[in-house]
Parts: sequence; C-alpha cells; structure tokens
Amino acid sequence: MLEKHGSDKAIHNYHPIYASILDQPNKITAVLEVGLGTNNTDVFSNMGKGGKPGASLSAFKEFLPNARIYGAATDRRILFQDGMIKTFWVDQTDPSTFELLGRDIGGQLDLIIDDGLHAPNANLTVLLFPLEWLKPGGRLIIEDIMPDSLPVWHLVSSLPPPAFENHRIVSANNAYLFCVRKDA
Amino acid sequence: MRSLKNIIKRTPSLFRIARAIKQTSSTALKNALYSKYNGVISELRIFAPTPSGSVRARFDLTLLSAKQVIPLLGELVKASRPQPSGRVVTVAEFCDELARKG
Repeated sequence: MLEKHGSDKAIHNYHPIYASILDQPNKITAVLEVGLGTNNTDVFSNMGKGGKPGASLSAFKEFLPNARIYGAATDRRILFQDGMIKTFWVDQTDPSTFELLGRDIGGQLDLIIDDGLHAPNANLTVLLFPLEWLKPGGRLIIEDIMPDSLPVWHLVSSLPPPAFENHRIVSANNAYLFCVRKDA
Repeated sequence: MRSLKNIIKRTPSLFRIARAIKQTSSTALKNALYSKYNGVISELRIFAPTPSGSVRARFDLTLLSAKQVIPLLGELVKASRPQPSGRVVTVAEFCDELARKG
C-alpha cells in the first residue's frame, strides 16, 4: 500500500515495523507525520521533481479508516487537505513551532513519525514534542538516521524521559530508526 | 573606472581576456566554497543531515545542528530527571551534603 501511493518507506524496509505497530488499524484515531516529502528542489531534503508530497499520508488514510491523518512540513507550498488528511506548517529547527502544531492538532496521537529534515537537531525537536502530544501507549518513530549520527542516539537512549519506554535503535536498509513508546 | 570598462568593451581581444578572467575566478571561488562546505560537513558529520539538497543548504543545517543538539539534549535531560546530576549547587549546599553523607 505504501508503494502504491509512492512512499519510500518500503524501500527502506520500514514497512514491517509499521505493520506491527498498526496491527489493529480500526483502533488508531490519530497519526502525525513530520516531513511530507517536498518536490520543490529549492528546499533542503527534497525528493526531486518526481517526488509525491504526502504519499505516506495517503497510504495511512487508506489503511486507517477511523484515523485523522496529520502532516507537517517546512515548505508551505506543499501543504494540503484531503478528507481526513490535514497538514500544517512547522519549522523543525524551531521548537516553539511545535507548540503551535500541537495546539492546531488539538488532541493526542497514536503515532508520530519524523521523516523531515533528517538532521539530529531536527530529530531531537520532534523527540521532545510527544511528551505532551502522544497518547499513553503511543509510539514515535524517527526515520533515516545516518550511521555517522549514531553517537547522538546512543546518548539519547541513555537518557530517555521516564514517560518513554522500550526505546530502540533499529537497523534498516542504509539507515537507522529510533523507536520509542510512551508509557501506557 | 568607467573609461577603462569602455576601452575593454571596445577592444575585442581585451574583452575576451577580461571575460575569461571573470569566468575563471568565479569557478575558482565556487570550487573553493564547495570544498570548504564539504570539509566542514565532513568534520561535523555527527551533526550532518542526510546527503540530499544543495551543499550550501547541508552546510547551513549542519552548523545549525551543531549549535542546537547539545541544548536539546539538555532539554531531554531536564525532562528525564527532576534534578539532573549536573545541577549547580552553592558551596554551603555542597558542604551540607558532605556533612550529611560523610
């Protein structure tokens, strides 16, 4: 389904993780993905002109019939709304914009995915966000961590907030993921 | 200066030489900057984003990441422990602590 909508999550072998986390699709009510995948080549971390912004959101929309699907991106030109999908602007290098994002969403989330700027500072900003906005038992997945940045994640793993449990650094195709669950 | 420009414009051989100098220096400057950006990204690779986008944008984000990561880790520590072990205490507090714990 991810491939059908043009998402690269299956290419990186992330799909088994999402299949496990979302094994009861009807019970999921809210998902947020940071980073929609811009196709504007003047924006950093773009997917090229052929990229399809919000591809993963479309896949989640099809897979999760009862969920509100939220997206957030730095490139205002690619924001859109489509039925249960709603997208917002956020600057991953400015934590204060996440407070606005939380207020815009206005409810707690089952799953937060960081597929945005793919830099450690941007990832850490997203990591601090779910303390308030993730449901108990909800999960945060940080995608596309580069091997060179692993020392940051070893450090993060040694000091997770008490509300987080079962945090793992996961090796996938050519990149790593950081996965964490909020205490139920 | 204007008269020099006019002389160069009106003399085809001088114009060709001036244009070649301008192009060469522009390319050399671009190459030097490209090399500098890549050098910094390589040295600070722990903070660098994934290799996509322009080198200049990657350079900027790498520097911003280097600036922000430690303070953000500090925020994470604050969220993790009500009293982080790196808490600053006064001399009096420290002496009280020593007296209590020996």
